[in-house]
Amino acid sequence: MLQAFNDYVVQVFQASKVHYGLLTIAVMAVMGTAIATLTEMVLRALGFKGEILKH
Amino acid sequence: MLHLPIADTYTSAWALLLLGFTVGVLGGFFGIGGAFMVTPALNIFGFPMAYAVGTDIAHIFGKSIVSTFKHALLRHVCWIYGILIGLTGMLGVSLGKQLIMYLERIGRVDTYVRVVYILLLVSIGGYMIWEYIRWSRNKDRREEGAHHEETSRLALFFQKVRLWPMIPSPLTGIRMSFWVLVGLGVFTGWVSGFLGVGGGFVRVPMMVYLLGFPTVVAVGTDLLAIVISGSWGAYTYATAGRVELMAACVMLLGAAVGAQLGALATAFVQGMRIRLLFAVTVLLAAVGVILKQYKLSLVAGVLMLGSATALTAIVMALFMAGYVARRRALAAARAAMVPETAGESGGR
Repeated sequence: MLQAFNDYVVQVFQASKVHYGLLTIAVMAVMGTAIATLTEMVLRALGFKGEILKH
Repeated sequence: MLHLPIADTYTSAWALLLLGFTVGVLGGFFGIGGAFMVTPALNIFGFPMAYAVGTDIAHIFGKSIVSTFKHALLRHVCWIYGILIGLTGMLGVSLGKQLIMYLERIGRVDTYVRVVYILLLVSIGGYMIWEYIRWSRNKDRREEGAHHEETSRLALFFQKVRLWPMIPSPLTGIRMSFWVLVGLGVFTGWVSGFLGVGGGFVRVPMMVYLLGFPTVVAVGTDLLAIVISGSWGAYTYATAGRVELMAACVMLLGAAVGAQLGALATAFVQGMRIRLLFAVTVLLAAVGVILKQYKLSLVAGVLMLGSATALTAIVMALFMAGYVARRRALAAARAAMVPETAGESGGR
């Protein structure tokens, strides 16, 4: 799977640098949002809500 | 081992994951990208320098989304200020790059950049440590409130500037002139462009000392600004073929979890303590740059990596201690309420 992802990345990079730039932004944004949501759900399930203001 | 197809080299996936987690915690806690720690570390792990910078910037963009998400939930993000400072910061970056090109033409770029970098890091770090010592010596202020933070004179001065339009910050109750915010954004962007760094270590103290933001709000708002500038940085480095997407993804996996924990930790640690740890981080970065000046890049990289790991351990320990203390306080409060309730029902 990792090899397939790497092959895809190389193909996009060789086809168009602009597309590679956009792919980078998109992958980082989607991954960031997905992991943030998932981790938040896990933290809340563990009781770490964290909405405690101190200012 | 992970194959990096564009740079055509190999690196350890576990090392990337761990590095991502470490800088994720520090990034979420301090509101910094952590480029000054990650870039030398990636270089040690076998990345050519240009790929280290590009891959780091791409992962910083993803990580900042995670940290901003968490800080937004904690209500630490002043959206309008963050967007304004992030956008105007991009103009500042261009100005900083222009100066770099000029210095390159006259052949003085390396010396000037390093001298400015060291002076800036030492003065910011030194001032913050001095401020912390002053605060910790003042027993009355310490006891006044666990989270008390003093507004600087500079911030009070800038808050009095009444140049239209005034931009309110509902979160902090501060009203700042649009032009002060533009000036701050352009200046911090200029520093980023001139030094080739994300700029978090300049923006956070600036927001604290010039705008009068509480430390946690400065951290959250700065992260939003990093999302804006980081997206552009990641795009430009990727189009130049200097981003290893697979490596950036692996780092982001670790960083996303770390960033959530780091951001959450700010809710359990005193603002002044965050400032102290931030100052230590900045001073360590200064030591790293000084070592590089004397051609000790490997030592500097190892120092950065070691100190990042140590700081992460300290942040996690403070987080756990704060969490346990709060749980105990809540349990004690509940226990105190139970006899009262029992007494009331017995009376009836």
